[in-house]
Amino acid sequence: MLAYAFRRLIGAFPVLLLVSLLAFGLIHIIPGDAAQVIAGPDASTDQIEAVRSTLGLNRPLPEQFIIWFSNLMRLDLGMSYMLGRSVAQAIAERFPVTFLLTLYSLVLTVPVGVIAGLLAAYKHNRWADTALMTAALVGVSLPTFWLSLMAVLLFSVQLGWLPSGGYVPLSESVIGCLRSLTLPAVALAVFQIALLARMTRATTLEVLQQDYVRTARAKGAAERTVVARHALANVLIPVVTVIGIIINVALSGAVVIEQIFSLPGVGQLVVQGILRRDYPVIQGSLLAVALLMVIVNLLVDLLYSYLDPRVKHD
Amino acid sequence: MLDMTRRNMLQRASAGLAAGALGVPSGLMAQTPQPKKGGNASVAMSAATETVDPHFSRSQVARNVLMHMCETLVTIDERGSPQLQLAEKLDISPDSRVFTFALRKGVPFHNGKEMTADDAKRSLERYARVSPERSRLANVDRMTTPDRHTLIVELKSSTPSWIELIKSPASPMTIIPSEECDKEANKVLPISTGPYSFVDWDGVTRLRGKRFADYAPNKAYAGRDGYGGARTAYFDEIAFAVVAEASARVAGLQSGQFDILDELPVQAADRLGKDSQFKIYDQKTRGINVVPVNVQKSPTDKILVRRAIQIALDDEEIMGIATEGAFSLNPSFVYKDSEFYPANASDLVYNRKDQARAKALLAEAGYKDEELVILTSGDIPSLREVAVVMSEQLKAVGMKVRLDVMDWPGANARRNDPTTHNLFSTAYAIQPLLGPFQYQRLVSGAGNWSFYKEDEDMETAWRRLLAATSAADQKKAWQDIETRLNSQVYQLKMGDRSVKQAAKASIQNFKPYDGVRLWDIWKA
Amino acid sequence: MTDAATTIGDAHAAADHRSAWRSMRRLLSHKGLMIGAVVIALVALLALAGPLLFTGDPLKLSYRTRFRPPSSEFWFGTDHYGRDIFLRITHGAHLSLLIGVMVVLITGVGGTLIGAVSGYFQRLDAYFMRVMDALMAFPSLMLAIGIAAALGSGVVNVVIALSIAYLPRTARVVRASVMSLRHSEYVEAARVLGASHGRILFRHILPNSMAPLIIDLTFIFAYAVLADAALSFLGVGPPPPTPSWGNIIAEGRDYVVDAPWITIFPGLAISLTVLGLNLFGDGLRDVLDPRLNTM
Repeated sequence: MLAYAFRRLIGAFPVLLLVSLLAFGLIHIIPGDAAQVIAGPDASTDQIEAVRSTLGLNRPLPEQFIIWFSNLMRLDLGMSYMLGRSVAQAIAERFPVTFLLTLYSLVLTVPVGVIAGLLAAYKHNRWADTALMTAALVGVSLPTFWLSLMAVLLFSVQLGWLPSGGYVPLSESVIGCLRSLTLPAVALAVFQIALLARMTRATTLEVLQQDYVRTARAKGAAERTVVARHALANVLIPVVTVIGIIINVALSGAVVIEQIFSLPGVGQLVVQGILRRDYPVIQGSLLAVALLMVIVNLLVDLLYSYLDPRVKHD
Repeated sequence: MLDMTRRNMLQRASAGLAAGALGVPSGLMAQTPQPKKGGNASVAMSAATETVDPHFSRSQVARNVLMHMCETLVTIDERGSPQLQLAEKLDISPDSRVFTFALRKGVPFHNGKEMTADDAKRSLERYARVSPERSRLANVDRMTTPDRHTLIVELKSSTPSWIELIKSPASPMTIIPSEECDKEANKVLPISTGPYSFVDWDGVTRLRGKRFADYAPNKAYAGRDGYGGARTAYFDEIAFAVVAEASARVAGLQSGQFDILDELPVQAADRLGKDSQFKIYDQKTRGINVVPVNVQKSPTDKILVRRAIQIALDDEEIMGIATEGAFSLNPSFVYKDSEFYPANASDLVYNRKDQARAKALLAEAGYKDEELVILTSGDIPSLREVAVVMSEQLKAVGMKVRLDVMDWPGANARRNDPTTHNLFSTAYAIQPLLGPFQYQRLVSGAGNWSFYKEDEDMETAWRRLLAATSAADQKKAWQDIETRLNSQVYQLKMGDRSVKQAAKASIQNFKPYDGVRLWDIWKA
Repeated sequence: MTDAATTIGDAHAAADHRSAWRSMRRLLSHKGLMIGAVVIALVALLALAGPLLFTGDPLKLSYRTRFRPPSSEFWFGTDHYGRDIFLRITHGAHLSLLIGVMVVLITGVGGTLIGAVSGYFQRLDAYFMRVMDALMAFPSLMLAIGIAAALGSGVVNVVIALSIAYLPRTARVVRASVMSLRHSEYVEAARVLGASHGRILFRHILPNSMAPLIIDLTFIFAYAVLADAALSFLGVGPPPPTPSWGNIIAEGRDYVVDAPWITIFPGLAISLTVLGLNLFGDGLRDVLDPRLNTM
């Protein structure tokens, strides 16, 4: 297992190289560059060219990539063109917001989603199952940003309970921070809870009908013991897979959620970076996010093989 | 002959003085509470500034925040005309080549140091090195500082309109301490001499400032005037929050999170206006909607097709929808109260809604279903809305239209390429306020936005404008330029856009301007 | 040995024929599935026949009719262009469905191929999964935004962006099922009996791996419709004045407090469609999942 983890970590480097190449290629296909953004829409060609040379954007693309990559090898992500700080610092400032938001929504999601899913499976075809699954269906059917707009309408405009946007750092006020993240976290969690409940129920039902569970049941084990001992252990497999997916979904959803609720997170950093053609910021933050996802995926795979002995990594 | 620019400026200075004195009528004084210091103000804006380095900045959102901290030798007054700020006197040589600035004395920077001519010189040198608008200083031959408070700028050639170039608050020629001036582009913080000093900026959603206790207001004036005049900061702390969603900005005002909102939807403005807790303001000089026409790409290479488009348009409907009704019709590229407003404005082809004539022109031009590409950006709703409404109107006269919607930098990149589009729906923010001189590179010379190759009439008119030394000559030249733009259909003017702003009723003496001004206002 | 394998396959096929009739009956008697089917049929009908039934022009705008609340004249009200929201939703239905169907087809087929090959042939696994990992390492919307920004806004580009974004998901789901079935008893049996890799993969493993994929594809359809809306919201969806559901919401978001009908109705249309699809997918899963069939 350790050897496998180590191999995967080594294997992550080509992935990250691929990611940076992909990101680098992608952002340079996007029309317009940072020089033009800085020089402004009514700048002359000479002005744009002057800014371009200041930023080093007039060098050939491969050279730019090599410069960027060799800096990366020294763990230097470079300076933002616009933010007046290093990319590493910008990421370090933004990351806690996205991390807290994701964590907050995961903390809401996992217990609620798992319990709802297990309950629905356990009460298969009974009213609790129907009610829970109907709610879950509605939950996965609502557009997250639409739900967010409606939530702002209800909780901020009508009731005035929670702020409509903005972020209070944890260091300034714990309560304030939680208040500023509650609406976005709930808006994100609704979809995730529904997703997790559905997946949990589906797998639990599958497991409950598998041979060894039926054998256990036939042997006269109490239903609750059957569910607890056999089903639950197996249910962890999809749960782990789903959590991996959920972190992806949460980071994705964060792009929209951070926009609506004006949270200075990594999603905003990327979107603003694209909008300003701030290449070092886009590359750096995409790489950071990618690194995080690679680690999450690796952990998921490791847990997966730990939980399911049939999947061997040797 | 004494230079008109200087004479005008002196007149303007005294007019500003008089207006300032009259600015607060005694009746109003009795009603509004006396100004008082203290409290915080928080402004919600729709977009973030791209930088806090004043020399590196250039956008309206940048001005919104940076003009609280920054000051320049020459700035603009309420009408956009040049006004002295850190200079107390400007002498211009008769040949309009040597500009001698006498700087105000005893003006401290936020870092405590007193501003001197050396700081001014070094700041302009840095500007000439890093600013996207460095071309404004391209004509500078040399700068000298004979004493601590005199800066002499010698130009390479006579330039009567040079003040018009350096007054612009878009990428302001901010005076910063000399020790900051060796820093690279985007590395300088807005340390200047303004009424508020810079505290911090998180790069995306929040920028903060605080009152500069040692601020030296310009005593030549009685009150605020444009970005200049005598400025007084009343709030202890100011904050600018970026809230992209309009509905979230409104909710934030209602919940007390914000004191002043920029870019309020008209619908919400009507609703908030009924609530005595809020006051609604009209910012009438926010910008103009314009559509440069590409004369290289078919079908708009034909003048008849361009005229058909021009005469078909219902600018009232276009502006009405794009601004939610907050607009005024105006065929000119300067505002109606500008001293340059052309006398023949009503003769310009504008808002004709003449579909029959447009169809006839198209037939005459031999137009047959060639695709007309309208380029615009989806990032700025009003630009996209102008494009959408315009495309429906042009379809109604039988044209085949395609919209090309990019993000803002993408659209501007494509704008540079004459093979990609016929029309470009865009807006000019500060140009109409600053006046004719800002339009030079947009409508003349090799880089003009219509991609015309040669137009001797246009170039002659520009030479006349730049060389003119009397107001009448300038005005006449600008009128010829506007007339030429209209008759050749180089650029379509859509209308003047205003923007709704809202503030808590407790905010006193707020007056809309190019940027949100947090000086000379206070909380009751 | 080959004969024996064929026999096993034939037995499977015979069972398939017998169960097909039963499955059909179960399909028809499954309440959720039928409700879902009816909803999808209605939306599909709307998408195909809507423009014929409701013949107004969804692009017709007028300054005078802006911000009209729902009425007998404008059933769902009008937007800030004065356009009829009901017409825009009916005319926009096909686009939202089209984007969803295209993404499901591309990710379904592509994910199955990549996932199957990758899960079955462990030697290839590393290469395929590294590429998938790289794609998956971008949060899907960020990837879609980047691609849409690079390619420009348009329906095809939205489909491409979403397909690339979701491909690793389906590939991983199929791969996981294939990996867990690869060592199962009946696969080992087929292998011992000398069945070819292709036969084992496509005959024995894949049919039994489809259930998670079907469940996942219902989600992906949902995501595609939802993500199309989100992309429009971020300004990289199909270009205006295209009446896609996402565009209608995006264009109404500034007026959500004062003219909520602009956002509420297309939001409901999206939710209802996705709900129908999910019900249908769940029903299919209940009925067609081989392990449930053996009950």
